Amino acid sequence: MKTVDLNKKQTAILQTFGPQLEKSGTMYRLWVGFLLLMILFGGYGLFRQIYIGHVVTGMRDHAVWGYYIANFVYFIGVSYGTAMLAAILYYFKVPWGRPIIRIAALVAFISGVIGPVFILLCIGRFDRLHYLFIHARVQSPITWDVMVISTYLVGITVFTYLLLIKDFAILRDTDKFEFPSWRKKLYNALALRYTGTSEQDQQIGHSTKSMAFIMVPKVVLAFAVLSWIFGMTLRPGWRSSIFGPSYVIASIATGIALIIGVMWVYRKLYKLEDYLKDEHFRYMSLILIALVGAFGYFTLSEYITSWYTSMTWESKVTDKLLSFKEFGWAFHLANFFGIILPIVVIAFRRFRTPTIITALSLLVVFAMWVRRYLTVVPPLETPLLPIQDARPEYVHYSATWVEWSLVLAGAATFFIFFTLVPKLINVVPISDYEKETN
Amino acid sequence: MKRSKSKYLQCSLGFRPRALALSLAMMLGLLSGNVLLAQEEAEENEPLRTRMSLSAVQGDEDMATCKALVRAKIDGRYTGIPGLEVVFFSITDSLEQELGRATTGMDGIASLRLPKAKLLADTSGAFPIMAIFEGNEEFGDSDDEITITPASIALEAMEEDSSRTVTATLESMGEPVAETDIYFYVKGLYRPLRVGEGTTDEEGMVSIDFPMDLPGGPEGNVEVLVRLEDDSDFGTVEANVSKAWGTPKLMAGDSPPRELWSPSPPLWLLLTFITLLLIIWGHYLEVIYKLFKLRKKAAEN
Repeated sequence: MKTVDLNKKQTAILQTFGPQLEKSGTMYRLWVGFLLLMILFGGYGLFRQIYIGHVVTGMRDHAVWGYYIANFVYFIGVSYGTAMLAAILYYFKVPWGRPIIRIAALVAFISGVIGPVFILLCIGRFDRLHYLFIHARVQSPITWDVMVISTYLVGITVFTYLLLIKDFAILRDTDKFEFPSWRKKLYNALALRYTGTSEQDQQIGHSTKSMAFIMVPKVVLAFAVLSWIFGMTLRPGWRSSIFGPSYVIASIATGIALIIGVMWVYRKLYKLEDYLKDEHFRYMSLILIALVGAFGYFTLSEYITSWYTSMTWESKVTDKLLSFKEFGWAFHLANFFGIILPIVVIAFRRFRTPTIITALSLLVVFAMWVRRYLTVVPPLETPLLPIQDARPEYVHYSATWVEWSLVLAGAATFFIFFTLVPKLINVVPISDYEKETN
Repeated sequence: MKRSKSKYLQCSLGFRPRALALSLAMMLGLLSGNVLLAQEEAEENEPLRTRMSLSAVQGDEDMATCKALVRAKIDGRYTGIPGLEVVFFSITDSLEQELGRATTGMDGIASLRLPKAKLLADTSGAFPIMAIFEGNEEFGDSDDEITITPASIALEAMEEDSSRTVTATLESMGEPVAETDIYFYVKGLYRPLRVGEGTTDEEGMVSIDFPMDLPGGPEGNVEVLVRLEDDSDFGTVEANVSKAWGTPKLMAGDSPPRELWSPSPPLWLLLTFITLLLIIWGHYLEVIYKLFKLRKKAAEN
């Protein structure tokens, strides 16, 4: 059978990734072991939650949503945002975007798989899960979301796979490494008998481009539907026409910040300075501050209109967010670290180094999670009809160890995916360098 | 003669504790304000003079309602006084009979509903009625007297083809009453809605065409009310009948159906939803089909 021919540049990249694909060190094993322990801890929490019931969580009559929904909205938003970035960079053939597309698609795929799991954790009756389909009502935004997320997951899986086919074929054909037979078989199956003919290239290129093209409107729709679940609920802090655009912008910004973090870790671990250059970090940081700036404007617009009109119920939520006795610290710090600080620091050219940009990006990643939490919980703690003499824990949400265990397990799953993926496939796409010789 | 506020309020409102009476009086708003001012005046002067207007309504089922409005001049305006006890009598030349007692409400009206059979008739068959407010420390006594001739309205509501007719027949002591204005209403939540009027003919009859487009209760029922108003001989005479002639209308508080806005989605929503899903899934299927084809073609080569 004909094999894929590699040029010098491609051979060099393959050799750079060789050790990482072939062997695993002690630190690697310890790290994976640690992550597995966290997942196991989350598994115990889940067992308690299923066995005893949702009473083991902090969710009660008023605050019916908590960490799980905040995490779901966060991860799925990151997935949408990174998918959109990958699709735009691919479709418009942005020259500097080449090594970033694969990382963005992987972040999108992994976040897209983890996000919906948190919805499942929030469901009290797993045995009624299929009701979502057999009793689906087209009028319900929940039904829209179920359909859109399922559709999106298939789309991002196909798109990511299309980006990887050629490299699977290269790894199938290489004789430089001693892969176990199961991996050889896996590469062989995933490569779809690709041998690098121009017809195959054309077909894969066309399919990937059309998937990238449809990804953008699909992701905007998916963003909108998820935000409408909140926006179409008559509740202060949620019912806002700017909720959709604000969520889109925040999620793309978070996705970019996360990609920067992943780029930095991969660059350090696998010595990828020749592929993930400083300029990649600079370009990404400029997009990041443009987006967080827009998000800052939307935030101001959302809260200043609500504060100025002073509708009683709306004001209660706004006051909670602004008061330092309630959510004020979280709200103001999240805005400072997530919006103001990145803009101020990155505005100075001399601070645009990969390490500083990454540090700021990680602050954005954390700050945006806090903002998601503040989107979900304070409005729920502000009911229109307060129950008299309700127990404080019914009104005020406070996460329990079970929720923490599952949140940490979710984060551990996210990390373990990123730890295992470079064992299966090279992070920098070898096939993209087929027209370069050095 | 010196009198305290509480004493006045005890009389006018019937409550003993001064603080409670004061609080309630404050809540009565403008009227209470006027009353309090009147009380200040009463501290310095003799009891305020009152006026009484007595009227009677002859209704269905041979019942009558006597209404006595007691007013006093406060700030230059005659205002109804609440909390005054009025005694109603039926009086003829030879007999005097107490019919009952009632206390004036916020509007200053004391109402007493009783069967017509309790009323004493004079030689002409009419009912002389008297109402008396005996007076108290703040307000002077007053009384009024009327004589009403027994009358009744018989109602007939008919529906033929596409028209609805309400016919009222006014009778007094077995004789039809002609040349009298009668008004037709439909009872509403706050006040009756006038739907027609007419003058009785020689047979005491008057008819109107009932409107076809009125909203009704949850089952479409409307209460038709026919009235002869404030007649010098008969007082007010009224009769009513309930008919399912309205358009059924859900009232607030009725159980809503178990759905958001309709049992099935609007067509535009369904079409948008299906079209979008078809476009995207069609696209996926095309790409997946091409991938299978890629593998198949390579195998053939």
